[in-house]
Amino acid sequence: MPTESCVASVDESGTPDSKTQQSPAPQDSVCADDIFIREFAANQRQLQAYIATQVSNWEAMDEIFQRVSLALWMKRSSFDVQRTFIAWAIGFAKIEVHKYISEQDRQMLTLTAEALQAVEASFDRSRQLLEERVTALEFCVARLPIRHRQILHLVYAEEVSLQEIARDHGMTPNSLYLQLKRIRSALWKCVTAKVAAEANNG
Amino acid sequence: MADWPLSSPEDQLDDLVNAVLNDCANAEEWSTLSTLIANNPQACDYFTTQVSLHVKLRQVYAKVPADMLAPSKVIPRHEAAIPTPGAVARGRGPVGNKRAVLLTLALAVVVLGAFIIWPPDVPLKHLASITPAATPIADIHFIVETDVLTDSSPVKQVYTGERIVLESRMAEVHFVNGIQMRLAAFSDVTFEGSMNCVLHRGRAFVTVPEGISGFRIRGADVQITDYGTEFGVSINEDNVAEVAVVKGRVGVRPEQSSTETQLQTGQGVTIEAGVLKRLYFVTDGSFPSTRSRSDSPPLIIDVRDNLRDIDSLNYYRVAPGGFGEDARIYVDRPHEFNGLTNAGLPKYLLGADYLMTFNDDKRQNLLLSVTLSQPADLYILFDDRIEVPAWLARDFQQLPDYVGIDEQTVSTGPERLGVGPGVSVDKRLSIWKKVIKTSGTIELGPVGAPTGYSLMYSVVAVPHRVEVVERITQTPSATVPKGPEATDGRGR
Repeated sequence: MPTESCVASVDESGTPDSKTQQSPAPQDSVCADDIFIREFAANQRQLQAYIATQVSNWEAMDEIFQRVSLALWMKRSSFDVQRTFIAWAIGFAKIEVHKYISEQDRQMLTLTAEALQAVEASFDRSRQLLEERVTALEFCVARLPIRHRQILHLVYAEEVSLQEIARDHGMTPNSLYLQLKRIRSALWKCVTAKVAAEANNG
Repeated sequence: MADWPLSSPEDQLDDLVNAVLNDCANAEEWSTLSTLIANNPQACDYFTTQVSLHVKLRQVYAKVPADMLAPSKVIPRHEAAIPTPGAVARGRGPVGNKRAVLLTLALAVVVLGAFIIWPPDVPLKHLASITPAATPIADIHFIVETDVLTDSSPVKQVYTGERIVLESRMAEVHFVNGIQMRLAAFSDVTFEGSMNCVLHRGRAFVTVPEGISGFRIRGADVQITDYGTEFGVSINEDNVAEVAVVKGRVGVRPEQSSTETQLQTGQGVTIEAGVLKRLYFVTDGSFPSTRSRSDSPPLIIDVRDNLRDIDSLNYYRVAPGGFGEDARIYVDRPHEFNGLTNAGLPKYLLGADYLMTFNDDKRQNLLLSVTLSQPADLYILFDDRIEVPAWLARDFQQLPDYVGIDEQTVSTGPERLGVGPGVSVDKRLSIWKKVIKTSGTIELGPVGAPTGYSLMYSVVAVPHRVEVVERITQTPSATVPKGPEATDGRGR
């Protein structure tokens, strides 16, 4: 069902359908835009993550994400609210990633087509789980040692190379790589355990 | 592919994912990662989760540009090809300005929302201002049951000169310089600085990152200096100390001596009244390096040999419950056990206790004494290419299964270890079994005639379950389930 209007669909009990829980509104495209923006906002990070699985530098990721954002906006009238937004958006992202990579002078390294299929399936299959893990990240970062939080700040706040960070802070690149690997591993263990624990607690 | 437990992604996968996240993966690494995630949903899940966390961390920690709310900064930079809101407003594009602003604001709200909910961490330079008295040298986290989550608050910051006694729980100390020290319960430590500690009593396992050297632990009678490594140290009530190096190099000097003994990977010593003695073996539980994977009491409780004199620095390692895919085989080699095929390792060996032997011990006069704490099924995993020695053929029964070996060799160029069953398997070991009906010491002989290529055998032990054996032996042969107990012991 394309988002031509924002009239709330009502089920037999008279409850608004969860997918179109907007207040009844005039049948104009502004309301469709509201739905689009809401969906876009809710799925933005997953879309960025999907792009980031294929391009490993932030500049490329930002560029592609912006292209995808615009393409989605231009084609928003074709968004079918019966579909999941992320699945629809990933279709655009695939095209933009491919276009971006083919534009580069030097061949960009990325995943194979088979791996990409698996990644898409994973996003589709584990959408809720991924979101829960990302939500648990705050809890887990707060539990990292001071030093590890400082390293995360260095790595993610300043978009400079790890070599530069290591040099500026008196570490060897290897030491920084190892510590970063350890931190990521700890975060992964923590978020998976936290989500599992919350699931067990009902 | 490996069916690894959720809490321990394979090292190889971890390395590959980190290479991608660090934007330094080469073509081969992208290719290997692709293969892993295309074939293993768990690996794929790990990758997508790590990338999602990576994106979220960047979103949270990245600085918000002051002009982030300005629509022109959010819309694509390819102004010539794609209309900017400004251009749209001037009627040069199909997108209405109002709509572009809506999109832009949505983007901005989402990005800024993350900052409102979860502000960036305190940067390094601000640390002094929030700790007016002194700068902490470390913080301590208690380790709870899952071995993953720590207590809900960073338990304690540690300052120079503090003495800490752990009353009941294991804890991890994270020094500001990246050194980590895991302490067993009841340990008693004084922190003299981020590079110096006194272990009055207890057990510690220290991991020192690359690039740092000189971390020192003192006991009543000994001083231990790290030279870039992982090592365990324990000091008991009688001030008897044990030191074992898991990786790297450590110097040990008795308090009254001016000579430092250098220990390397797989080496250890006992220090008693200022005298260095042999450390025979180390189990997973000797130091708080990792939790024992076995809930049962250890099966292998002592190991002796006739090859090393009392001053030998090399120790055997026992891994309680540690037998499984990619488990390290030898003390002195990085080779790993793996299922010969994708079917994996024989199920009756999974989770067994095993003894890490020395691959260099292929000598004709070897006599290895292994002491078991209870009746056990004892398995010898023996290099399939070499002649079976008389003691093995006489006392043990060969089973029809095999165990693969994944070798890391440099003789024909560096070869990386594979991950999981049936991957990168280089050799195979036949399986020989003997039921040991009482606890005690069993003596094992040498490999046999030494060759230029043979591998040392491995020793694996599983608690013997009498009732199961009795039931099987009482079952008519026609209905005996096919398995190791039901074979003639020679079938291949």
